[in-house]
Amino acid sequence: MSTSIFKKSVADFYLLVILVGLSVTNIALDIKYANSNYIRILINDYLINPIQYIVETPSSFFNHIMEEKKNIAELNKKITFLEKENIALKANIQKIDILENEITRLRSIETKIANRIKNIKIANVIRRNILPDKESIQINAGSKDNVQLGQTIFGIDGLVGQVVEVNMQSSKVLLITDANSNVPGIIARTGKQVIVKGRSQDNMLEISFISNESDLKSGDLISTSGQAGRYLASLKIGRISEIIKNEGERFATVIVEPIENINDINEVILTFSGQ
Amino acid sequence: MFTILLTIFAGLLLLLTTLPIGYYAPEWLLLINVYWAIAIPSNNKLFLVFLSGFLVDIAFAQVLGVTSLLYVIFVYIILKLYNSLRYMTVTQQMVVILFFILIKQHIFIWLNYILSIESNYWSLIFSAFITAIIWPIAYYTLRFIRRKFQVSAN
Repeated sequence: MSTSIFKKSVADFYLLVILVGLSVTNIALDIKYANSNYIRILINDYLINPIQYIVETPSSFFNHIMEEKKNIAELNKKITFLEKENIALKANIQKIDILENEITRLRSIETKIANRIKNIKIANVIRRNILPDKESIQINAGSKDNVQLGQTIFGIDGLVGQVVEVNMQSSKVLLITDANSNVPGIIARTGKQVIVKGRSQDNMLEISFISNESDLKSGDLISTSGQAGRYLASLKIGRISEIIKNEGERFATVIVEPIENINDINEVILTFSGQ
Repeated sequence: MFTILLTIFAGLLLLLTTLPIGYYAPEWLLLINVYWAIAIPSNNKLFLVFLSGFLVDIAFAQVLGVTSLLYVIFVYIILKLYNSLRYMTVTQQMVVILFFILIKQHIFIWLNYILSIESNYWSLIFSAFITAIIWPIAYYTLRFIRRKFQVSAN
């Protein structure tokens, strides 16, 4: 009797060691090969997302009933608004192409631009705050639309964020207002390289590690610099709204207001570069 | 065994329902696994604990394996202590579980620090208290289920 208890506890301990080892291996693999984690994608697509859909059904059902009660005039207004927005989007796509052509002409550089924007996909935001404690959204484009991990996501006005998780049908986007996001940027007026960090608490951004003496003005435009290959170059990030000089310290606190209305964004734009 | 799987599935449903409030939500899957560890310790379900930790990791989009590591160690300690835990009242069990979860949350924060991920300290501490408060409800509900369906060891 006593031997069987002894054996059992040892077996328990071996199982513990095996499972702990498995967990640690998982952590290591997940950090090293974050791009190709098929287990996560499979479980997300076939277990988590369907259950989430079921869980959301009651609330979305009541929402639908409320929507039906809206009168036709309001719906018409919505249609006209959407049409207007569609035209604006199309105009903006043209503008991007024209600007790019202009830059190539002006610089008259023979080498062609490596990451020319070739085609654009517009994705819808399906859920907000999808990652706990992080400013994030979920969009309805995934690996079947060739979305890549780390891809830049932007709206009609400016930068929105980057993809942090890709599933088959959807992907999760970390917004630039999150504290974990660091965007290499450039101040358009002076050409100074800066790093723009999210603040999480008030949907504003701040420039980290900029000295008290540097040449900054309220209203300066900051755009992405494309350094480190993280984000596409020359997308608008925001404008400086407040400069607080900290006397006796090396760095100033500079608050940046994002140009894109990140809180209420509904459609985001993805570009696919390459050949 | 089938009933245990069903309760874990129900825990997954609850987890996804409370996903919008993030880390402030109680840890349903941990509570369910701890109950089964105390109720039927002879039934070795450490692998199930590992899988449920895995599901939590995927739902919260964390690094795969962090939660499963902590859950497996947590339930292993509970399995070692089940004899003394059984003689306690539910309130005393609640205090013990609160104590363990507080330690677990600090290890979780420490792991996040090593992996250079920022975590919200107070939401995790709040979650520990909420989980402990939910424990009596989970205990009586799961005991009812265990008696109704006569879940026994094997």
